Amino acid sequence: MQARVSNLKQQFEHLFPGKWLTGAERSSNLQTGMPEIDKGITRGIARKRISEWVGPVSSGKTSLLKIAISNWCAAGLNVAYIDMEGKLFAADWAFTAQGKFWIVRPPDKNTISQTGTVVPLISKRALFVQEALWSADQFIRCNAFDVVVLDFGSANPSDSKKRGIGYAPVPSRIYARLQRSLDRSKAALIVVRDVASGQVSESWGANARFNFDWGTQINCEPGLAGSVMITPTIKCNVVKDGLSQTVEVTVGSSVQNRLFTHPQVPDRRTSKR
Amino acid sequence: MCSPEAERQQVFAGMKLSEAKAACADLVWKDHDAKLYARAQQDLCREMIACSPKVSSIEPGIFVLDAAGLNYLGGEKRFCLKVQKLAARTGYSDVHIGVADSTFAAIVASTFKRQRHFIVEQGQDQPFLAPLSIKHLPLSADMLESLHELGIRSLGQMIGLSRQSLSERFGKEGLAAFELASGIDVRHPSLPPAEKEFKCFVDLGSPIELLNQIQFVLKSMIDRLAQQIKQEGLWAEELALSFYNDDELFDQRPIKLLRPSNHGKFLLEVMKLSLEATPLQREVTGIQLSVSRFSRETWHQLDLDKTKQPEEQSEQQVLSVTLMLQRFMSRLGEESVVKSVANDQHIPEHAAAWLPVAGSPSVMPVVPVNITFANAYAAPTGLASGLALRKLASPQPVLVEFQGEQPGAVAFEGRWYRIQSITTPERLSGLWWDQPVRRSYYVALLQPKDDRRVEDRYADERGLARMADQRRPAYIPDTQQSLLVLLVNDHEKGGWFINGTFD
Repeated sequence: MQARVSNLKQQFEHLFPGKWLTGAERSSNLQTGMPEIDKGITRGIARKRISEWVGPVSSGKTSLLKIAISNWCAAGLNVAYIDMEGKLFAADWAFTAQGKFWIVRPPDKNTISQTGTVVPLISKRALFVQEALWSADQFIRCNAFDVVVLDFGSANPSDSKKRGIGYAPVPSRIYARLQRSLDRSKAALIVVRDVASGQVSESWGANARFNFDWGTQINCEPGLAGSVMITPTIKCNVVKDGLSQTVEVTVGSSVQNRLFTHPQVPDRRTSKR
Repeated sequence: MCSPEAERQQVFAGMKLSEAKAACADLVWKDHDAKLYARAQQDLCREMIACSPKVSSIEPGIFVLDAAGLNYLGGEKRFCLKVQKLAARTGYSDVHIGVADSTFAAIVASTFKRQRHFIVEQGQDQPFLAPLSIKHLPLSADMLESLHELGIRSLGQMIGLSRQSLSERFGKEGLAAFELASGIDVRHPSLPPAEKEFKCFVDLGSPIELLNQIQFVLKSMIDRLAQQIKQEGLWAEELALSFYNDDELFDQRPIKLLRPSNHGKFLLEVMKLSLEATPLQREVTGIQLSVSRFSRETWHQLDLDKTKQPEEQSEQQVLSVTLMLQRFMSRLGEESVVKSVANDQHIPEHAAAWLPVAGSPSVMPVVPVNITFANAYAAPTGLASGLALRKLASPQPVLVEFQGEQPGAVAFEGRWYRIQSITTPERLSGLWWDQPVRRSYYVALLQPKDDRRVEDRYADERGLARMADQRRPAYIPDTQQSLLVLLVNDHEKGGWFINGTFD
């Protein structure tokens, strides 16, 4: 009976957030530091569950993930990121925080083939998909990481058909296997993948799905001789248990002072503010 | 804290073990079990409900009971005697009771002159406390010393000071002490928490003997219990298994877990191991399974901090992470797991480097960054602010169409894009000693040019036929098709490139 009452409470919590679950029940969710997402229907990112983080190429999903990861690292949580295509830019991820942020990057062209044979490009990428899934499994099972991010990258639609990932939904057997690992862990798994603009590709097995796109408002930060940074707002459509909610998140603009370790020299691109 | 029996044997708090053993040869060392004390405290709380509806425990050994409305029940004195009698019945004979308006005054009254009970008359808390020492207050050593130096010895002298001056000098601690000395205490007795019990019993009907059959029954029981404790945000620390043969309890075994868990499969495996190690001697007709000890589930993961001394981390922690890294190294290569380290270099591509997590290079390829300055001045949230760039495999050469001096459109991946918005260039040069760099970096918002979909939508929305080219607007902003890119003019190579998209 108690279990049923708890289930009912969770259902009510989805409908009327903030009234039904106790503190202990909520601590199973990781807060992203972005109130728009934390106060929404998902109440952050659920541990022991798979969350999908999807959107077209250049839609703001990586930027919001970066904000969330920097907040988690600042809170002392450990994060692992599997960058399947090696597209992350090192300067964006040089956090100076308490928690650890480890990244798995694709091996060099010469090292991926363990047998020493020449592997065609398509097979090589397919091989690395397996390695990425294996890596995610390892990070989840070692019980040292609070969040594991599995980034499938931006595959070409034609290529994705051959590989079964990318624009196409992640096969349910893969999710089922990852979910089994998550059941024994306390980590949250975020699967990042690109979808074609306007495409809705449902994946079975994800606890929540975050769809990203640029919002309508585009902010240009003025400098001395024109705009110095363009920061569109990011529209996030959250789908969970058949419920849907759309929020807009604004990203703080960053005009880097490239001479920042030499504060005496002014940078002429510095914002007016 | 020492019991009267221990004191009689000359054993006092703060003694070394060797000293205590010299005083009392029969002394046995046991690790402190906070849970055991908490449980005893909880049990006593429940017993005391017989005396008062609101009972709570604020510290080990200190209970607060609601003593209001006792005029028609024999008064406060009778209440004290009743509580003493009840405590004695449960095995606690050395009980001291204080009755007052505030919790703090009642606690002080309970220790007053070591009387069995002491009653402070209604509204008399402040006069009662005034002559007593400030040592009764929960103050830090520093504050206590400061008050002594100021000549403040009693609680009465303390409330003679102004509240503001205490707040300015001692902050929150000073204010809290002032309120307690004035007889104001926010701690009140409350209803004791409901007892949580996780137990289930299965009457099998017919006797079973085989381990497989017992395991089958245990699985259904533990699945149910594991789900219950998981829903409550708890995990099991100890299980209790009892086996019955025709209502006769013939085997009872506590199963202490190496680490707490609420995972059904793990708990079942532990019970199976116990049954394999000590098989049952008789047939079973009934099984009772309960979670005898549980605690709040924590979400803390293993620590990856290498700076910690090995003794600060458990062997399991070190092994788990080291083994994982070893697996990565042997399967994906030594530099497969990396971390980003900021580099003191103004060219964006060189502003940070990926360094392998396993092992440290003999020569650090980065120059340390003044982190304090970077976080204070680089951006509102330090190095983590701004959009994230996703690099292309290699910088992609693009054709650029100019409108005056500004780039107006680019051909990228076989498609023309109109530049909807572009920043002023960031012109950077350097590295003449290695590979000279002279580049202008732009952030550009691109919109597909001649986008049929956009045009069609425009026509549909307006309900108009295609307009003549000269009357058609330049573009309709469609953020779903937009690309925000890092456009680079490489003056050394003499070409335009797109290095990546901001995602």
